[in-house]
Amino acid sequence: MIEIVLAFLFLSVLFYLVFAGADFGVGILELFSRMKNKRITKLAAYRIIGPVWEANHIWLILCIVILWIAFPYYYNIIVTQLHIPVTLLLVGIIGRGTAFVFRHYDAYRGQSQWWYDVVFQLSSLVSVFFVGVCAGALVSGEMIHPNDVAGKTFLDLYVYTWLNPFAILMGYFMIALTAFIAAVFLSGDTVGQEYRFYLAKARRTNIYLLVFGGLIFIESYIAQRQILQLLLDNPLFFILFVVVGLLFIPIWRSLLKGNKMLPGFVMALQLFLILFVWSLLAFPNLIFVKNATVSILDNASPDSVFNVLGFSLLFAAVFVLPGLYHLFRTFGLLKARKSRG
Amino acid sequence: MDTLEAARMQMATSMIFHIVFAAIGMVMPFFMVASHYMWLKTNNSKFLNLTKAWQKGVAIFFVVGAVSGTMLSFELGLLWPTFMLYAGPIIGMPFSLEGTAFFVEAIAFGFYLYGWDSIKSKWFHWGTGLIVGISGFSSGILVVAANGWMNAPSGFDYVDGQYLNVDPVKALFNDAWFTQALHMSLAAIVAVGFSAGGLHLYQAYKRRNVAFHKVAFRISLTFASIAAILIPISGDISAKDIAERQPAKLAAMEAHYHTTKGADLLLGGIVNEEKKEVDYAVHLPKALSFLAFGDFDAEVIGLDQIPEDEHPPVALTHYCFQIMVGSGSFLMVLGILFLLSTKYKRWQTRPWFVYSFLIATPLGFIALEAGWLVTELGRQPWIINGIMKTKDAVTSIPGMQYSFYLYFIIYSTLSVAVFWLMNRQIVKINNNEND
Repeated sequence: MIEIVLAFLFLSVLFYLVFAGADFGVGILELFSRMKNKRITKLAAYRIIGPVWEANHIWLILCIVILWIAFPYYYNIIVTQLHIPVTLLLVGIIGRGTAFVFRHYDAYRGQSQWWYDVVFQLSSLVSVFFVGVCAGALVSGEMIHPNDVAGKTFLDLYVYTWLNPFAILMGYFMIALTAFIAAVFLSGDTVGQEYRFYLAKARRTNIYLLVFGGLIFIESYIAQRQILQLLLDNPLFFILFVVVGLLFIPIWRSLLKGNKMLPGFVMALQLFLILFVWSLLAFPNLIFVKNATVSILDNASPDSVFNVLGFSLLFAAVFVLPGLYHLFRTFGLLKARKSRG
Repeated sequence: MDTLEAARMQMATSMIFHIVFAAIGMVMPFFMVASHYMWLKTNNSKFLNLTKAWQKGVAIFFVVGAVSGTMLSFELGLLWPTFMLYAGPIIGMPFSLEGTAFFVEAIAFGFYLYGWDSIKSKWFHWGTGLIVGISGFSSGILVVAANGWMNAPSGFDYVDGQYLNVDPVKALFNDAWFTQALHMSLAAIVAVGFSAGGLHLYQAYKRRNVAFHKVAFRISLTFASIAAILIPISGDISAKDIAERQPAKLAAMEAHYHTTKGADLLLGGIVNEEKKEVDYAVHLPKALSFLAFGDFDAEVIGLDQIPEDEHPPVALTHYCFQIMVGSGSFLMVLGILFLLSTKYKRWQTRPWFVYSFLIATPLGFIALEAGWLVTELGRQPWIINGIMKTKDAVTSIPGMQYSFYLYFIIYSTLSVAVFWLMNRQIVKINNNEND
């Protein structure tokens, strides 16, 4: 059963990254758009993510519920040492969700729309940034082993664990990544002026993505991070590096041709490969603490819990996955684009 | 404010806020679907207008409930990491099923909201709305079941501080799940039904878009009046259950300090926690013994039998209980009044009738909040009844008061925003600007 639970954990992280990432990315793209283009982003946002965004965000809940049920010890480390960035992430999530719905359902359009826009855009940015910071913190090697907390100060335990150059750069990287994901999906879904707008966005965010990726690499080299050592020691990482790099070619060829499904699909494949190879290499030591690692399997729940959880997840999949598929299909998100104006 | 106080205040603030939206999310879709059904059957456009108006309300409330629920699922770990470390695996099952129900709800709601034009079969579209209601209601029941486990922990053996032989299925079907879920479900219907109904009736009385608001009132109260009449029965079942399982909670609810046979039921009164007395209360002789055990002479354990350091906050629990029972009784009377008014139709336009329902608008929610305060305060100082104390579950991070302030600001701002948005919806409807 543990394999099934881990598979669902993996899937929920991947789907949250791809789908919720795209939703957050829309807000970020809107934030960094000129005034006259904001109307484009707003319209596209409703047409494309309106019906599906709520469902997309439930992957996060699934992910933390799996963590707390199956790997409570591991979850405990996250919620104590990353209390502050997780709280800020939540502030972002609540701001974004409510502003998105308020601006759509407010009975009258007026001054208030300006506020909704500001909250929607800024909280998208904040949420994504702190998702990146938390992810970065877990592998930065600055976290502290639970057996080692005696004598540590407030700053050591609750601040430096995530307020370090690596985690912050991961935050920026995540902003660029989600904006890129959104731009790729949206240019696949739009035509004419909108299509050209998103294509330009995809180009720019792709550059940022590479820049921040490079900076993270340099930072971890200078700071001699364990994670870099782990990756460099393994030939699989080089194969991954080359394959993911090469996959940008089909993404851009199909984007420029105006193909709807292919760019998003290849991009999701890239993300899958990165997460998969990373999990393979690091598993089960998914948290890097000072000079050591913490295994996700440490003090994992007893088998009876895994059995019930595994069956619950399979049961859930029977209901949720077909429903999601139909939802995407009904609203034309899986159909080939008709024609470009 | 120390860490424990701040964490408790933050949890209370979050729950008080979330429960309003959770209740609306559980119940409102059924009103919407009922109105939608009437439209499909009669083709009368007032039903369509009402369905669409309620749909907007549901969309706004649903998303606020969803995000505040997401926050709560994190807050469980952020505020009570030690609780989650041990309890998480045991009560994981209702949460994983709740996640599923929530997922289904979000998918169905996507279909419903955006499917008016793109879904060909109008009954399939209606069905997606019904699924929203069913899955929302199931979510509520599952979360209440998890709370039930905190009152009636089961599904594990507690040996030397270790939680052994975990059985998540048994934990889900703990002794408290059914009574709590039943009471909460009815309470949610009462709260939402009276509050929507009262607002709509008042608008109709003020001659604003009368046909529309009258239909809305009738649909809301049809649900709410039946629930309001049933809720005392479920309350009675709950009380008997608590009397057996959590005597300290019952004693606090009734401010029952001294163990007695044939105990009186107290109505109202001011609790003097130092003297361990209740002043100015109305005594109903032997009624507490009867209500708790079905026997006028049964012995009811008082707080004197409970160690001092295991007393819940008595005054607050007692007041909340009085508020809940008082509001609930008033709403039950109004429920009967509504059912009578379907025969005596003229009543519905009389000021006394309209103003009674207008007064009742917030009462269901007040009762709901008060009831949850009784459940949670009455369990103190335990977070897992008899097993783990709240103070042992709290996070170690200092400065929690700032976190509390932050959440307080967010939730107050959101409350104001939602009220304001709802008001704008009503104004728009009254100007007959249906879209």
